[in-house]
Amino acid sequence: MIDIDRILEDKINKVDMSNLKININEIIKNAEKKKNKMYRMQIVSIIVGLILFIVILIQALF
Amino acid sequence: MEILLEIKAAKKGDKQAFNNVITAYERKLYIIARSRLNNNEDIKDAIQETIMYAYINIKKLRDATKFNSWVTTILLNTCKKIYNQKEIKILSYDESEENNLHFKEDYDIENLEENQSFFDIIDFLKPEDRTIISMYYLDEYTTKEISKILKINESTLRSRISSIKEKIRQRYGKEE
Repeated sequence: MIDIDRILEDKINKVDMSNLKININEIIKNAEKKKNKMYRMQIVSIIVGLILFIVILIQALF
Repeated sequence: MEILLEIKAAKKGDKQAFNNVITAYERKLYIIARSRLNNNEDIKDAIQETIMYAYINIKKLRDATKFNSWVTTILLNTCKKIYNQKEIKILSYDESEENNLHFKEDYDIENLEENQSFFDIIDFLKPEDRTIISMYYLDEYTTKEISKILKINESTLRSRISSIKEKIRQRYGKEE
């Protein structure tokens, strides 16, 4: 019986990651930009919503 | 314990702590992504997208101890998305030979011990089985965690692990 557990435990510790070259700081920087863009979009939609609400309110009043 | 403090700091917006957490998880992320995808660029994309999503949404993570399961679920969903988008040919047992880029024909026990990498050994399995066995041999997951992440009943998972091991044994244990 081959000892699959021993072989695979040993092999998984030797998995070669040299192909993976990622710059975490760069990803964080891009994530920050995306986050800021999302916030800006949210603010814009809130403002547009408020303006629409006010317009509808004024129309309803007069 | 230290990593838990880093995760808590990252939740509060500490970029360096987030960087340290991801550095600690990078290897695990690679192994899981590799179990689903066989193209280096796709693996890289999946990991980058996962890191980005995790950074933006880490504040939504209520329990820092669940970071492991949380980030793994994000990664698996991202891999699925990339797979569906690009219709990547994932190595599987019944795919044609030309797609089996890493498939090795000479699979005797000596070869298994010396020349083959972890993924050379498991690449003949179905993608989900590869993920199960990769998570099982990565020390950081309990069977309970794996069953939750993959949405499989725990006892079903245990029997699947045994059957996967048996498949590998049958494939490589011929010479005995």
